[in-house]
Amino acid sequence: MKQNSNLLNERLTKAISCSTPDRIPIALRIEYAAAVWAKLNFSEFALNPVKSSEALEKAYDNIGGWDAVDASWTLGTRWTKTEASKIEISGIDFSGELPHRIIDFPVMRPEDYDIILKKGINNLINRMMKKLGKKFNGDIERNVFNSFAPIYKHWIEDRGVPVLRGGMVRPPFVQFSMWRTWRGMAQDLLSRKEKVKEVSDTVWKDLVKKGENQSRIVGCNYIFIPCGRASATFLSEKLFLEYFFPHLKMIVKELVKDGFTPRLHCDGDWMPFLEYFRELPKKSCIIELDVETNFKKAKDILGGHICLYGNVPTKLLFTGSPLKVKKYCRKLIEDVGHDGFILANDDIVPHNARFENVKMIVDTGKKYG
Amino acid sequence: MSTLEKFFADLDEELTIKEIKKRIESEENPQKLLVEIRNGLRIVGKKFEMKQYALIELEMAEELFRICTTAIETLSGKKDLDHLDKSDKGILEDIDTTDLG
Repeated sequence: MKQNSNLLNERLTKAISCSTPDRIPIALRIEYAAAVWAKLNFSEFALNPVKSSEALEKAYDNIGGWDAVDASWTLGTRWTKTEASKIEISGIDFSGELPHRIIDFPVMRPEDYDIILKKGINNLINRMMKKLGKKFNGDIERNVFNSFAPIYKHWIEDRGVPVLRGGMVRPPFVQFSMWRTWRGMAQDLLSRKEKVKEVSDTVWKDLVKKGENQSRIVGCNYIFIPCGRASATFLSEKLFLEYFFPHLKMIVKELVKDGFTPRLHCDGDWMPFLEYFRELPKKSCIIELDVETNFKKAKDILGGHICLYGNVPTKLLFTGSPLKVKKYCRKLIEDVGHDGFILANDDIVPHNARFENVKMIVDTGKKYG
Repeated sequence: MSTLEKFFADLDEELTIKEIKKRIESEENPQKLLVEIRNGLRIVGKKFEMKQYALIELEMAEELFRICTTAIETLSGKKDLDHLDKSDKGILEDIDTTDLG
């Protein structure tokens, strides 16, 4: 059944602009749980975008529909074909039905910072992909995202459901810590901190361009920005302000200027840094917070400035009961209010989540939102 | 707090190594330097407890400790000092479950 896309988009737009929609929009990020419920192999869910979208669509219909889905169909294909990372897929690289694993591997060497300065980020990505035995160039990335485009079109146009993620921009600190590993990053912050800053100052705009291009290809203006590695769990305030936040601010401003909606994925403890997010463009982005950040206090700090997204705990979805989920959602709505808020699960619905618990988020949101 | 302890606790690699070189050139006992960098490591731990430092600083301190023990061994010509640093694995890899996208 086709949804009233105008209504769903208006709901989201109002929430993002921190005003009060007809009801709180509901978003769910369902990945491998959709495969379990549809009895689809995890390897197929990861690597076959059409089948993973179909599995998600079954979940969408069985739950009764909600306001915005995540682009789970891009997951494994994106990681295997376009990311300079080692990835293991269930049924292919290991046995058992478990979500894919990203293997910590220092694909980037310390001297590669200079490659970026001299030859650009894409040259380095090509080199690192080669090192991992993957073939890669701009055409391959374009083709991968082109192959996702009809699925986005199906959701957005045929079904009338907004998709909350087109492209992705990793801020330089997050990107380098992934390629260098945590240990490599710690070495860099000791031995070549000026270089890290210099390269970050140079590269952030290229990373923005990359994410914007991905978004344009698939026809979806939401851009996912993974920030978790810069939370107060991992960085002191001093390092946050030196190596992460200045670039995040420039990235978000640039994206907003270009007409995109940044979706900041902030897992971990962000409480000590939340005030800084008031420096980001007002009423233009979404911040996803998990249970480590106090949602009510976050609303006090960011209310009227940034739309909050979250945060029904992952654990509650596989160990809890529908009643507990309902209680949690009602309290959350009471605490946060109806303006500038998207009710959602915290991070990713776990693959072992109980269907009825996930459905209860939607039912409660529809009734009390 | 000694100068070496302070430089270490500030996670300043350049100043820490400079201080180690200076003191080894003045023929100080390498074991004494090791005691001081261990104290520096403890101060890092305290700063972590007081939330002045986060997990990356613990990882940085571990790296700096490794760099210091290697420098002391190399500069003093004494191998197998008792520095209890035998690990070759970082501390963050296993605990980080953040979503990278």
